[in-house]
Amino acid sequence: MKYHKKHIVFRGFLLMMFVLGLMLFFLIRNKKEQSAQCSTEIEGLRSRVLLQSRYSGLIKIPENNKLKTIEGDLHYFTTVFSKLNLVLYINSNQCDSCINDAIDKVENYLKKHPEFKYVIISKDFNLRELKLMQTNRNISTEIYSLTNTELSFFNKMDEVQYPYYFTVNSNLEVSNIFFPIKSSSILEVRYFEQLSRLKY
Amino acid sequence: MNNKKNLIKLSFFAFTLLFFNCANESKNNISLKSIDSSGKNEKIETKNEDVKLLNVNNVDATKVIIPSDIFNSSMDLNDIIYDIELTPLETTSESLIGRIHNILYDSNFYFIHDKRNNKLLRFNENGKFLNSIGAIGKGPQELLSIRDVAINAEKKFISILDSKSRKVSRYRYSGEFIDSKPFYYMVSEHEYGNNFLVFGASIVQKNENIPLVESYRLIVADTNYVPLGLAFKTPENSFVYATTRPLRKFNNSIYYHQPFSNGIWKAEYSNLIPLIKFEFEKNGFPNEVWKQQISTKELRSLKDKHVHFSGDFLISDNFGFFKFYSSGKVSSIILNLESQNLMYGRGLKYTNDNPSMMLYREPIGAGENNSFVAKIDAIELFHYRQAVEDGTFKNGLKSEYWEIIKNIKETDNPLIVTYKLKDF
Repeated sequence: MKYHKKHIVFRGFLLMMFVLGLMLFFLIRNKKEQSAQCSTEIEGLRSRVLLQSRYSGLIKIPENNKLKTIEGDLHYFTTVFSKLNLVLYINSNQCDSCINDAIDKVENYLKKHPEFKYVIISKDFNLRELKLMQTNRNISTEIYSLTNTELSFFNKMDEVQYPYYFTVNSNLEVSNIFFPIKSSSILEVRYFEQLSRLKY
Repeated sequence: MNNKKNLIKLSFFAFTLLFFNCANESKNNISLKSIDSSGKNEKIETKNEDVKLLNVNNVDATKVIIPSDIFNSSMDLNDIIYDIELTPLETTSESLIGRIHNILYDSNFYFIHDKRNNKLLRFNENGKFLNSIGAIGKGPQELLSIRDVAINAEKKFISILDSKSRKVSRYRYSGEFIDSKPFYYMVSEHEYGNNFLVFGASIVQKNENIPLVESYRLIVADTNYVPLGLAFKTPENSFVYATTRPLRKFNNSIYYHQPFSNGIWKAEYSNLIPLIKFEFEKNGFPNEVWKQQISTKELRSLKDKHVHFSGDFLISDNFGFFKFYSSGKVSSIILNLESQNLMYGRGLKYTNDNPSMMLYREPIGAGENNSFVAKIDAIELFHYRQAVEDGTFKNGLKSEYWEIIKNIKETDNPLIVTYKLKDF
């Protein structure tokens, strides 16, 4: 009888260990998945930081360059940037969804903060495409096309193949370069808020 | 007692037979559920043995030897090009085209597909805008994207593959909606044959949850999208590198180029006919790279090191057009399908005798009576006009072209160029 009782306890213990082992296995597996996800996110953020640092420093757009409006009119950079202004730069080689995402983010911010201003500078889009973009996407701001596609700043930045934001002041100095992250908008909102505080 | 035993044995045998029969039936019968965004649960049924694996061997294909000097010479079309016609496409707010992705031609109509701006527009042969096809929106007859467009010239309808809503919608040429069918597997391209369809699946969307078609790039299906034949299964964990429109249709024949295969096949109801196999005099891209499990990085390195077919092609009754790349250089080849003669070069040879050569652009589609259809952006001719008006150079074009060019605005729609080629 005593032996039988011991046997039951032992079996119960084994069963409990098995259940605990199973729980531990699933817990570890879950944590492993989470950690893999975290490391991908960290890797993504790391590459962003590296990207950001690679393209920082004093950059100046040469003065005698012009931008073209979607109506075909030409304006000097100095006229467009008579004061500090935010720019969203897009290139036809960037992915469509990346461009749409970057426009959506700034336009959504604009809905809540109508005092916020920005312009779009584009490269390798024809004027019809820009006109369609403005109409179809209800873009409230001016869209310009680069007339000199060999400007070193834009050429260097094109290596990245993402749309990005930056500011240009009246001396045509480029700063506050920021590459939006497609999957999240937390950093973008913070970026726009910081810029609003600059009262540009 | 013995009888009872026998009865039990017999029942057991009958049950086993029934069980295995059912199991076998369920193993062979395959049901594919619709995967469109409407959420409707529609099904199509097929059997494993009814879906053929198509033979992709291209040993019997016509061999086209790519010369070693393909990037060192220029192509002289001056004596073989004729009947060049320039047609401006009407520019209105409704007919505005961003960028032309594809031009389809049937019954004297041009169908212009602007993929980036989700537009499909119909113009007549004089370039007058007639109507747009497929409305963008979230309604039952509306689309989220116009990813691919195909024509059924026999039944006179045009169909739009919408990869975002995961459905194919058919329209009359006038834009009138006919019907819509859901995807049962992810596809990115389609073409209509005679009572069958050919689907091209993207290299990214591998249909991992649909074992029947998983990783196959080419799916031949009946008009209800039930798969009939499969080809070009890509290996797991291999490179992800797309080329533009591997599936194309010219003059009622459907062609498929498996990216990085050096080959082009003709797709038919029950088989693939090997048509062209590129071989290289020097430093050619290795054969059957598509079959190998190699990374995107390795593929990029192979592309950088070797002369390779871009995947851009057109095949008409008489000629084939192909484009090749090598470390940043581009070269075009025209193959006379009958004589097997080649014309090739990095650029074009211009002479004073034939100024209209400046209107030549590589063809996008096949037009009527063995003509080719290409496009020129208005801004290119606008700049030419400015240069002539500034006196930078003298206009050598015939008055029929100049009459069109002198009225062009920078923001006008692109122009259609059609031309024919003589045998060479």
